[in-house]
Amino acid sequence: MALLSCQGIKKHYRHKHALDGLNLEVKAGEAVGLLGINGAGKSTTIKTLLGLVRKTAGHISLDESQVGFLPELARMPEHITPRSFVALALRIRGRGTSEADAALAETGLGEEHMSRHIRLLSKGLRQRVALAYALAGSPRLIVLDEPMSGLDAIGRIAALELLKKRKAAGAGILICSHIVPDLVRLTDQVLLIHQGVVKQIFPITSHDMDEVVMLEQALRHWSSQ
Amino acid sequence: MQRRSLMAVVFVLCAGVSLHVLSRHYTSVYSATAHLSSQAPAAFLVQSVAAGPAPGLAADYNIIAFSTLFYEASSRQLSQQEKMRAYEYLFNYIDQAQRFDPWFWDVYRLAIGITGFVPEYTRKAILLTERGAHQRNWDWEPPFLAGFLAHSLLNDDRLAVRLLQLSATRPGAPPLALGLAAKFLAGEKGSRQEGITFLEYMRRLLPKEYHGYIEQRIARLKSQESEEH
Amino acid sequence: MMHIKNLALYSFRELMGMLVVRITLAVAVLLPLAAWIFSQFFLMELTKVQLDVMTAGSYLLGMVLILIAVVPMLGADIGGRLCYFYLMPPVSRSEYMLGRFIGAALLLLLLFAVLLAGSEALIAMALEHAPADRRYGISWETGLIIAGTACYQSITLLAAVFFIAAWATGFAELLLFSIAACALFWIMPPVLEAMKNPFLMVGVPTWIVSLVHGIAWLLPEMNAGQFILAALHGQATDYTMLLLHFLGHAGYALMMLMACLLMFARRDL
Repeated sequence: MALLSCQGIKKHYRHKHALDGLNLEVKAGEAVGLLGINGAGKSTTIKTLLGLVRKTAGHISLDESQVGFLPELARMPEHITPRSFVALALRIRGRGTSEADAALAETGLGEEHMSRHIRLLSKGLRQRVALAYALAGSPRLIVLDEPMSGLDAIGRIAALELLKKRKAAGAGILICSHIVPDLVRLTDQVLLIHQGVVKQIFPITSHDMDEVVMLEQALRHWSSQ
Repeated sequence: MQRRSLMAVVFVLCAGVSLHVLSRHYTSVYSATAHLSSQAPAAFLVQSVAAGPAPGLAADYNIIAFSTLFYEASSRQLSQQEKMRAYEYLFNYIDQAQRFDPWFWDVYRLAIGITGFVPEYTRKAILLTERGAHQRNWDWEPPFLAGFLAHSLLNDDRLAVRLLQLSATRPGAPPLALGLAAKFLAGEKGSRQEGITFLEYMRRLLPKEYHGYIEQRIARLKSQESEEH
Repeated sequence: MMHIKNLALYSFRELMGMLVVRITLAVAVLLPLAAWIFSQFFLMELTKVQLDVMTAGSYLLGMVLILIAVVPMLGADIGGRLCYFYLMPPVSRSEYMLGRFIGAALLLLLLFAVLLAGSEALIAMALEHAPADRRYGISWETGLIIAGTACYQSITLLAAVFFIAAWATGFAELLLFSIAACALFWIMPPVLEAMKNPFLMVGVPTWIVSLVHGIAWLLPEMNAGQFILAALHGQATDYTMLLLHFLGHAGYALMMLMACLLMFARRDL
């Protein structure tokens, strides 16, 4: 069953076609990766799908009841504690706020950081809070834009394991990342986007280095176009 | 935004515009002090802009400025020219204070008690107090005091009668107000004793710093009275 | 509705987490003391002077809270793209904006509750200690009129700031236009007052008069200071006029908020 599907999505700015007829589908228990060079249209795709950017044309079908979203971080709310921040996500998803601590702990945030203002946390810890916000309450569709940004190696591995667990539990994941090995480890297929169009679709089956090399070669190929 | 939500938003928007226009039409005329503005020095405009929606505080500022300048001027030896300049400033302060808050008692206390005794400003101070007396419509004191000054310092009994009659209509006005009005109307001079009573009343009204000038006048009246006897 | 409530409570909590907000509230608590000290420079009508300070303080603190707390919050949401967190489905853009607005309005209500308590404390002190013949005009309702009018005028300004946030592209733009709105709200009553003065208006070109009146029609009537001044001196409050004044502000705030929702629904974030 498709949690998210879109056909022929177009987004035109005054002097630029950011998306030009993009098709995509994310099913329950499936992870789809978006790969592309800077400015290819990955973030615009996510923002358009979630309604943050208005599409120029096309059709989007999205189960709005349960979506967890981790935006590419520019900033975090500074004057609130991680506990209160995650509690908001839980309330929005109709869950009890008592799950906030568990959601934060799942991303590796220590108890001592949960009741301090977010402005006092390091970049990596903030990223864990943002991840907890996206995953709290076990949403059925998880949309992640550069989720590993700012995380250390241990944090990255833990985040990947957590996302794998969610996928196994039946959640659909749409992830956009520049880190090719992470995409290969987590996803079932990777869409290579260039100039707002899906140029190639790579099914990921073996999750090994060969697939990493293949994706990197394809990326290099399209970036030189 | 869905069609129904959009219609609701547009409906509330139109209701908001209607309420705004309706209210503006009726409440824009509401101003307690508009008719008092007879002149508009730049300082008044600047203070108005600074005070914004809190005109009362601007009046308080002018009263403080008055007191400060008066204290400075009284504690120094000033030339006649400097004195006149200081009096001009002092009068401007109470004039502006009145425009901001025409009900403020300090304005009239200072107008009658201080600027009223400066010959060049006596009439202006009395007229300012008369304007304010129409605003402070529960108070008999300002028109009573101004009326007495009009009689004793300006020898303008028509003005004095007008002010004393105004005072007599106010709740709690002393019979003296009506009595004096009747006397002045008949062209009689008020007695020195009444003048002394008035000045002693003024002395009670004003702070210590202002007593010197009033006491001089009381002493002068008393010496005139004893000379006559 | 649940999302609006959740976001409103969250926004209130977030604003209360700001140090500047807590400092502003502390200033509001201490304002009656400052008013009392200031009034000691006067001889008569000390309560009137104290409540003048409370009036000016109410307007100023309302504006300060909007400029130093709400504007940075909205600036971070829109310029810093923090709103992406809050706008994830199923939260709609309208729910987000209304939730944020109600949260900020709750903060203003808290501020004016503190200021109301301060004003009433000063009035109680005056009724207790002022000589009987000097109590004219001192009444409990004056404190209510001060806090009430300042409160709804500040909420109107808040709605105008939200309208600006609906189209501003970043924090700098939002701050600039919000400061301009505050300045217009502050300056317009005395300028309109001055324009009633025939001595001042001699020589002023007609088009300037029309322009100022035109701008004035775009703003709500900010002359509640006149109601307060009259009430401070025991003048009977014209409640019909006050109700119309309040309705005008409610209408203006609704107008701004609905325009904000319409514009925000159509923009790219």
